[in-house]
Amino acid sequence: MKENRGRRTAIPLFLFVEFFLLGLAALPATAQTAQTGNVFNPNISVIGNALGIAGHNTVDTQPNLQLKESEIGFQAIVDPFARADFFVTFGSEKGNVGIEEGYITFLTVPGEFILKVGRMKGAFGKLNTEHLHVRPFADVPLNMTNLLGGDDGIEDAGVTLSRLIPMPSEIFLEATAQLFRGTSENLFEAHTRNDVQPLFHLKAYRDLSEAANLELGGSWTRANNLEGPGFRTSLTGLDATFRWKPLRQGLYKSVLVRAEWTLSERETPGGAVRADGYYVWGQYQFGRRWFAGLRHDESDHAEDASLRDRGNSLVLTFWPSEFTQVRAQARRNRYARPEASVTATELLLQLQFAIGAHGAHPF
Amino acid sequence: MKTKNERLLRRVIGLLSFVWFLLAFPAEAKKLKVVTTLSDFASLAQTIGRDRVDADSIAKGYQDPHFVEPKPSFVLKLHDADVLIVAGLELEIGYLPPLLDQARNEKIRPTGLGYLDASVGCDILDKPAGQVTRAMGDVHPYGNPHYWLDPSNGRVIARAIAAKLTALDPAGAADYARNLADFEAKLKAAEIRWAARLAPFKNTKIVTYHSSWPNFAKAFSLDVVGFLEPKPGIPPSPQHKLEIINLMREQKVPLILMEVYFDKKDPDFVASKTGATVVVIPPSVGGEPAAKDYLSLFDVDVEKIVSALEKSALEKRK
Repeated sequence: MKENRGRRTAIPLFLFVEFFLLGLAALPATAQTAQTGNVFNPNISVIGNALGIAGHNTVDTQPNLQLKESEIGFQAIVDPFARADFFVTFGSEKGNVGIEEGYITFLTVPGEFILKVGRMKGAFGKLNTEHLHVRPFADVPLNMTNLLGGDDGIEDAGVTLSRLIPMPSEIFLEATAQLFRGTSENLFEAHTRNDVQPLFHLKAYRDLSEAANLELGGSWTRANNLEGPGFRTSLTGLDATFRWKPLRQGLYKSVLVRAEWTLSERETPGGAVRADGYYVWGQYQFGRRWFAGLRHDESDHAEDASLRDRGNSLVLTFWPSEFTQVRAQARRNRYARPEASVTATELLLQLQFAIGAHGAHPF
Repeated sequence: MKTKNERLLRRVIGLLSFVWFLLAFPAEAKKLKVVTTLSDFASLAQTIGRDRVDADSIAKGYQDPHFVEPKPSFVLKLHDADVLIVAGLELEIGYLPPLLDQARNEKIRPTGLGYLDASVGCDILDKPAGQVTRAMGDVHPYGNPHYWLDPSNGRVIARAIAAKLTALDPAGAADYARNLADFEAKLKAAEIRWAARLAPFKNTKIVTYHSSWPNFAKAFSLDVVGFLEPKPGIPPSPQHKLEIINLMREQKVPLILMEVYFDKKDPDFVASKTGATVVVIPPSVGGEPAAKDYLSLFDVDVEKIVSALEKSALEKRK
């Protein structure tokens, strides 16, 4: 991958300045740039995500078959100081195009900080930071749908600063501070330039043994919500992940248990609404390419904490190769509604495939 | 009297602490921290650096080096490293880039002085000719990354490590040169020993689980005629197992070679149908306790192969 990473060429401003400052002397350099243009092109990857759903659901009314999301990634080293990552996503409907993330990362900031600038995912818990294709289920759990705005969660233009905090006993501790514009789909809306959204995340990790490890995280953010100017929502999150993968049999056997809890404190004209939700996910790998998982999720509605949705899922994932993934998820959700609760039993079938540059494995 | 003794004791302790601080602490701090992706490079770095370096690897010798998890604990290791030695050829593509991005250590990034790609100058095999597609499985477009399994590549890597350590720690130049010469002498003697052990089995046809052994086979004159994996990274299918069984029967292949981290079920099945022997050998230092350094890794591997082939030859005679 590193061989392909390099500086993007043909930057008009750069050429413009070069021509004017160096005059004719710049010509050989330009000719050379043209020849090596492909070398410095970013790594390109495309990930497709086809989703089929069978069963009756009047609350989550996704179609029976869709190419839910196609993600195109462009990733390259910018210069000796930074790298850039762009992820353009195409939704299931025509014209539904967006920059999921697009940021520059400065890796050599003094003080051992890592600085990111652009549009990025909020470092809120685990699931919120993950792209659709690395999530271990075909949907998102109810606390993400009800309290974090849906599939994409907190995702906005902003700045991220993160630093390792020295700790004894080989504990990894990383503090992340983000400052966003304050607008996230279905969740936050900034009305003035002062409506910024701060987000803080602390991640602690330790190897328990060669095979097992534990990761704990805490997140907090606050921004103006959709009720109008002056009404804010505070979100607090806790996450814990336990992993077990014996190195000698690591190709065939592993366990992952994860839980995320979210608390939403939402200001509304009628008073504050305090709603919470969580999911617990356990996954067992029982073959080189086979994974089975169970999930329980439940969550209040952010607007009405007296309504609590509950769900259970059974997930089976098969990887024909490292680049394709077939997943079946049997899901039974009980949606609380003021009039009467609705139960939906569905089968979700997901096929994901990746072409292009080999990305890093998620952890 | 008691107080006098106490005072003396305190002074002695104080003096000892001061001496310890002067001697032990700076000496400790001076050691070059070498982090490597593979245990083989850590072993070579320790052999060349001896007490001037502290070498540690990310992957263990008994784990598949393609599928190392990018654990945050490795970020801490890389954060403190002075030298990073990698296999390159995209072997570490699944975990090293995000670790390096988080390590906040400019020295060991690919542009840094402390970075060493061990593949440079080595004899790299299986470079795909023509177009590379993933229909070929999980191929490495720059060539087979299991090149450290050829001892002559080990010599190239050891020299590169000595040069890198010398560049970063010129005061140790003489030590590194001496240790390298010592290693090369031992390697030369070992090569003669290994060649003699394997001489009766020159050009023996073998099947391997994954395509990890082309350099090893070339170095020790073995002939790899097939793989249990139908394509790199794809586990054996029933159809392919049948093809391999037929191929092994036709060509009278006596040996299936596999790494310690693969499941032995499929090789055992194929062996039961063909009469071949399955030999599980460590592909890296630490893959089993006896393979404690780079040279003993080959001692273990060569000995296991030779004893399996001797046994198989004996059975044939019966």
